[in-house]
Amino acid sequence: MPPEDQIEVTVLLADTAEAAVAKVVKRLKAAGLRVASVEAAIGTVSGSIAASRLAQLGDVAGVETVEEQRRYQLPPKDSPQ
Amino acid sequence: MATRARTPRRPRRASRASMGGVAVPSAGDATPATTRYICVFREGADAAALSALGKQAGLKRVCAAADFESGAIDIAQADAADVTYFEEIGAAVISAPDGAAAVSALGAEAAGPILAMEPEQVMYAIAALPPDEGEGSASYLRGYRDAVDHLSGRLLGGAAAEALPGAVEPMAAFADDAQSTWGLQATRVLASRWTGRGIRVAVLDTGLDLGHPDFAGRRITHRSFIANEPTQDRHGHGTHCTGAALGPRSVHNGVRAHGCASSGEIYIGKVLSNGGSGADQGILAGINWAVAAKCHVISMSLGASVAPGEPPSRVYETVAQRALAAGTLIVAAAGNESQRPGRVAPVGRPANCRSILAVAAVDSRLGIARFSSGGINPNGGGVDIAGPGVDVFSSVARPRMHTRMDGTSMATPHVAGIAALYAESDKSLRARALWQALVSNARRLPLPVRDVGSGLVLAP
Repeated sequence: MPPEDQIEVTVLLADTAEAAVAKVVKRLKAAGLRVASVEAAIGTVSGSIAASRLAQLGDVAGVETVEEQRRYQLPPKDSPQ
Repeated sequence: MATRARTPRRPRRASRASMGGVAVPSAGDATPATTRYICVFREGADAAALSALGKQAGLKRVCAAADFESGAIDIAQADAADVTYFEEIGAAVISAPDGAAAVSALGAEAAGPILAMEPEQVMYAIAALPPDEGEGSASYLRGYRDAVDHLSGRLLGGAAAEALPGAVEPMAAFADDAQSTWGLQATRVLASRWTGRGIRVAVLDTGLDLGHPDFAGRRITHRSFIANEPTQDRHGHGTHCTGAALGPRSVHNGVRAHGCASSGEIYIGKVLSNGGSGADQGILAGINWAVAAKCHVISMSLGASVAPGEPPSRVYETVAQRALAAGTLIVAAAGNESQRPGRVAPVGRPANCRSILAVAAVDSRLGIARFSSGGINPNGGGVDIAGPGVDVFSSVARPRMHTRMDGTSMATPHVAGIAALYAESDKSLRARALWQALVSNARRLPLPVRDVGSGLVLAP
């Protein structure tokens, strides 16, 4: 789990070409993203970033959009699954 | 999914009263002439069909339903259009006040780009057709009827929230027997000659009991995206879903058949922990893995509830589009948040994305499951298809071996497994074409499109 002030995010990249992905990942790191994983085939980067730096992440060249990660929980076993 | 697109106006003859139980006219009834037609284009021939409508019938003003939904055009523009085009289902509503003969001629061309065309009023007669029987013209009608089904539901908007009493014969009930589950019977999987051979199906869930006898001798490719937890399913949900999608389709070790694509290639991505929890990172990593492995179908019995009016995730929508472009269809559970009859909850995330096939749950009488989420939200938040999701018998982790579960989680792998059967039956059925095969061959149900989309998934 990231520290308190870190927000887990998904970054959607505009281009899934390998070279493009590598370039944007570099820029994302420079913008403060702690990269947890790069999903190159679908063009997403998962990671965490300080809340104070979140807004500028969307301005990084090659970024389509940034969403805060959501968590999923299966229901209790006596409920519809 | 333009199947979810709102249409610019209600067809003139589709009054609420007529859908509320008033006698449905048959095709032979004397009805006023219409100048509006619904037509279904031959697969891959949309551009040719639109071009033919323009050149041969003079119908040049085309508006795409998706443009209306996105706000790119307004009602006045759409009303003035000759052709309202539904891209995702390859269908259109056309207005031809002066060109009826030319339009009919286009529809009659056996090898032309227009597969089926009927006057708008047939919307009612078609609802009274018996469940798809026979071959030849029946399959022709199925595709057409599906489009009509979608269109009528969308056109009627809120009125479609009510069923169509009297429009369709009461449904027979199905029941598990010693040989098979009710779900395999209802979806006609047992009668299919296809088993999913050569088709890669990824189940992204809590993993799989890798030593379960239901999957003995099967090739299983697996990976865990949960830190410190191997793929082995210690929850049970993932094994149950895998059993429905890819388990045995004949009596196996004395246990009734419960799987759809019994020869499909099994890909297991563990994206939910043994406690049943996960996050976008793991799910996207799982999708990425399955897309990179060139899986034909991804089954995701997971989701988070959304509020009425909440837009879908742009990340998941784009990812699903990229998956489709790579040949991978994502199928996801609509969600279980409804408390019917009082409350219908919106389809959850990420099934609420336009490019993800959202699956509702029906019971063994083919009624909507009380918990099944519905198409409340715009911009892709509709239900696309339904599957067996109440009292579903399938595999579960040893030592229990098998159990029954309820949920859209159970309906989803039925659709994914049946998708594999279509994919095996025809190499051209991939991604969007596979989507179209599923919805156009579904069994129409006397239930709102809002609840069941095109209807019950049926095997080829």
